[in-house]
Amino acid sequence: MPVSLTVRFLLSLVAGALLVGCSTEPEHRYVDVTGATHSPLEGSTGDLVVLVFSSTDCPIANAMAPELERAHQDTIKQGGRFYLVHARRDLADAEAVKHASEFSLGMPVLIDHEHALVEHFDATVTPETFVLHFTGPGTYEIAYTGSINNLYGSVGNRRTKASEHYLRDAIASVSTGDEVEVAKRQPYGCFIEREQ
Amino acid sequence: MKLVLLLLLGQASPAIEPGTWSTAAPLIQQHCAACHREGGSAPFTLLTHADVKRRRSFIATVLKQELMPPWLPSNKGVALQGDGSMPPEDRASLIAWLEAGAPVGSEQNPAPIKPMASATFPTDSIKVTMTEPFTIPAETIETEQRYHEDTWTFVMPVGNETPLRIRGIGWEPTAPETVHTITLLFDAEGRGRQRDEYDPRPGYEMSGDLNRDISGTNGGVGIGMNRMLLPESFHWSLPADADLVADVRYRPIGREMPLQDSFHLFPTEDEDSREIIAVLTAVNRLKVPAGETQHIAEDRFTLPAAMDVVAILPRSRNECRSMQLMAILPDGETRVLMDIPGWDGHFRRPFLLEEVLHLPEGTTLHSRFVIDNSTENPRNPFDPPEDFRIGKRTGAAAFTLLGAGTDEEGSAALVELSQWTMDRRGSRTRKP
Repeated sequence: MPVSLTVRFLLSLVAGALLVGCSTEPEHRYVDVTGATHSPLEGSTGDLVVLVFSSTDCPIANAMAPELERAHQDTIKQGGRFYLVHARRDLADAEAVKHASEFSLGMPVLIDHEHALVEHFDATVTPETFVLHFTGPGTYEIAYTGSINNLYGSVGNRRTKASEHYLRDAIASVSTGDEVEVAKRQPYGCFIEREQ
Repeated sequence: MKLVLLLLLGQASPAIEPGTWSTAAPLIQQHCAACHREGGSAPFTLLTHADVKRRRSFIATVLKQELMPPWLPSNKGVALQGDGSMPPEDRASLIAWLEAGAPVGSEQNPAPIKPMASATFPTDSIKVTMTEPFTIPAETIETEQRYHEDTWTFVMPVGNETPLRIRGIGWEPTAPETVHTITLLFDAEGRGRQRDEYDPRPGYEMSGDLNRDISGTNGGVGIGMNRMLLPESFHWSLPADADLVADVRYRPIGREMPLQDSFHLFPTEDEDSREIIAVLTAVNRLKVPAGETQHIAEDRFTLPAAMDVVAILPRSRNECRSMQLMAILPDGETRVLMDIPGWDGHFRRPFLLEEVLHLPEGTTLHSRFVIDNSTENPRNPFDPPEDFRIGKRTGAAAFTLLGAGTDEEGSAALVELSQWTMDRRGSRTRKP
């Protein structure tokens, strides 16, 4: 049964610049509709955390739902944490729950009402992933960011089937301690509107 | 405040007022709402100001890239019914409004768009429904040979005891956001039924062509098109006890979708109407190595009798970048009938001509397909590209012309030669 969560931004961001690659992170805690709390940006050395920005009605993000669930399962097997983060500010909890059920998504689903995570990672589209590899308590490097796979050659140009699985490959690389061959790839998808 | 837009080609456009919801809404209604509505083929609705505003950057981008609204033919060819192309001034105006932040204007409660009602079907139409439910998979399935091409064929007995003349078809979709085109064929010889019985699943996993009969000969429907009505005095012949064979092309959307569509056949009593026939100009065999960017494949077919054309159905795989159909008239004049500069099989559908097109005897149909089997083609189904070699009697890349001869003898000659040449056509290719 999918765990569907809604994000409530509990602690405000600590002021200060964040350096991608190795940084001290502010505390972020998010509460789901059932009251469970998640801290995707907290971790210990070696932790693997995957975030995927998504949208309930972006066809590009939705088309990758089966692949996201496979990546979720891979992450769990490696002892990591996987979060689906909806970037739509006004998304209702019930809609996110229904979406997760319809698309058979079993990972925690967060709604970034305040765009705290969107702005923290400077996410631009859905789907767009960030694979975090913790280098110490509260510090991590972004081992991979970008597209999930090569299903889309660009917006509007969808292949029959993805043959490259960038996210799952990155998860595997981080798990074995290898460097991700290409750490950043152009994501294609629906733009995240920053302004309301 | 005036916003100066830069056109895609980098030329400065005249200043365009971004306008407000009251000026944008009619454009959205005209160009978007037919699909972007509840129960439409698009993945989300665009009926309220809020619907549009929260996707404004994305919509502006797909408008600039001319990905939306989807309409394959350019205006170089003959005029088509339901022309879905967007006038440049409408496109520029809508982009200006979106890039200005989609201002609502002075209205407190901007009125939602009322989508145009779907085309209705005649009350005496014959309704035919898929006999078994089918489940469209969440993603493209892989077969032993190759990725499946997301097509499935269904056979439905019509139940007519006597032959009928059919002037139109209608479509009641059950999964419109997943299915993008369906082409139809009447089969009185049990060929589709035989294939269906061989495959234990609902329908069968092949295209809907039956030997040399091309799926689409008896019409089709697609995105933004839920019926196809022939001009007056034309009909499809439906033999007694025939099956309707529907070739369904779908695009998986990430979750399984149940499918059990219905079709409506519109009978006509017009005894003077002419029977629709299908004439093909196609490339039967294609062999394009990986990396080749401009492989040109052509076919020429000279009509042995005059033909009145009512519709054109293009088709190809997505390695095809562009395609063009020309008519070289007996006096030497060359006329472009259909020009598709950016082929995308997802938006393939039948195109009805605005007016019946008369092609005299001796007209040569010249079809030309440009194949790009490289990484430069973002629609290439394979990444990295693979050598591809396909052969199909009814055309690996094709234009099917639906129409009628000016008399029975002429129609028979057109069909006979079109079918006869299917087995003999080769791919004539040349380097640019």
